[in-house]
Amino acid sequence: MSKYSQVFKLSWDSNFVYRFNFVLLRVRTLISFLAIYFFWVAVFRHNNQVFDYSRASLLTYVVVARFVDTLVFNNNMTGEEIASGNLNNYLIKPVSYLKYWFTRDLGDKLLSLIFFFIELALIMLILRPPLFFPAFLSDWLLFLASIVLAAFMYFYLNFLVNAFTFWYPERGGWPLRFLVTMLLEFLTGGAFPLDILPAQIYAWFKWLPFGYLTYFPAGFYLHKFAGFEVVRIFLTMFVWLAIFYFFTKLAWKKGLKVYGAYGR
Amino acid sequence: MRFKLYLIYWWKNSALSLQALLASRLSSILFLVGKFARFGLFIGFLLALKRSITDLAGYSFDQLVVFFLIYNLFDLIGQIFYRGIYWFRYEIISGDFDFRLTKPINPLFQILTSYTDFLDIPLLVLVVTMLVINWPHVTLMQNLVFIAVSLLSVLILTAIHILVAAIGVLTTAVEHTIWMFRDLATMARVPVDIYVAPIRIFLTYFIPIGLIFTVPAKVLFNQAASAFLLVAFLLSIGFYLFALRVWRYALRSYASASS
Repeated sequence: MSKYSQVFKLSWDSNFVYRFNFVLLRVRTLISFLAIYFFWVAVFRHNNQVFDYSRASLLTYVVVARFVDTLVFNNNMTGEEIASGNLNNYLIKPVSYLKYWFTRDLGDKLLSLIFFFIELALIMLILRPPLFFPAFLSDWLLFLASIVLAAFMYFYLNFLVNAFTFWYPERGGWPLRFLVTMLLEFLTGGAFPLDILPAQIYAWFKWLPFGYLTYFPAGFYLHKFAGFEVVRIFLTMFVWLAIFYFFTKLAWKKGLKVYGAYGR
Repeated sequence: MRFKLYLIYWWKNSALSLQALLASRLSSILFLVGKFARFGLFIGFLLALKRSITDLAGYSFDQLVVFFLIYNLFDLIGQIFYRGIYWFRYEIISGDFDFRLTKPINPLFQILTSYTDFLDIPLLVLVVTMLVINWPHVTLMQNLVFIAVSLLSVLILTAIHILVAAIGVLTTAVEHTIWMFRDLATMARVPVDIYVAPIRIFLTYFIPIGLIFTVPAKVLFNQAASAFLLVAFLLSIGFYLFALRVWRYALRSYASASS
């Protein structure tokens, strides 16, 4: 068994060590989803149409956005490891730190995905949301391809944000992560589709990376984009991915030079 | 005399918290920007929604802004004064909680007030200012009832933090429990009345988020019946006593396993 498949297995197993904490984490994920879901149910109680969205399309968006979030976002501990000096443990081993975390991320995501489907089944059974599926195979393909790109984008963005800890190890890099988390909470489109914002603001989101993490992939599911717009979205995603990749590599290269293994 | 002792203890802890903040200025700035961004972006979202719908379940957008401000008011009060709970897990798993028990100050008070979060004060100032500007035209009686209901909100808020501490002692799980409360509390950024009946009932009577965040605002809009306020009063007292009971049970079960 290769070293990374071992990492994958360990990552999977470690989630079950503190089972109660794991259950609470899942409950939290469900609560934050239900908070958004019930908000939109309330909005549609007295309205048949909100902007260009029907009740069915917006509730479908909310569920699909959560599915996208499950596959795109992750929570790695690299900032804490830099700040505590535990990064040493990896630097002396024949493993790539990026590949190590990528593999751990895969293990976490697979588990999250399984629980997402279990929770979705419960939601379907109890709440019966009016979900629909894409009519065209191309929408499925674009949807899945954009999720893969978004997952890579966030992986490198997250590493970049955590690399800040090399220069500012205060609180394990949490202050910058907190700020980024606050921004992502609203600006990715996880709680609402970004095209409900005024046109001038929405135009900005076409240039910024945030919407490409949730809104644009979920938009493919809803068949919101076609023709040249599809090309533009993928091109923008590739450009942002390249930017994040380049700056992550650069930050880690320079960061390792200033790394002093404080705390060891 | 005891009150003075507790006040000095809190003052000393708060001074140390402030010093810690001043020692890490960049962290403080990043946290502040994050907190203001979260606040501003939700207001922005409400304004965006206003372009398509005239009201939300009968509430105008001006009213929704007041509900959101009052949600922030109590959310910030909880975070400013009871931030210490977020670090309580470490004390349990390390056994450091033993030191709290040996001091002549109530351990619950020590845990809850071990850290005063001054970073929430600038946002609190903004929220209070916006509330003053958007304060609806109400009678003196409504203002007095609002103050009374606000005290109940703080009482429930305290009770919830006590319950989290008790669960921490019993299970060593603290972070997820307090964050679960915070996640649930986000549902009260808008009045809990807008939700379907089972959710509304759950958020009012079981985990009384609605009593903390929604009822004070409803008093201002003259939408809280006297009978309901009486029920809210009894529920608040009952919930607080229940939390204290659970805490005492947790303390009896504490085994100091890691020390």
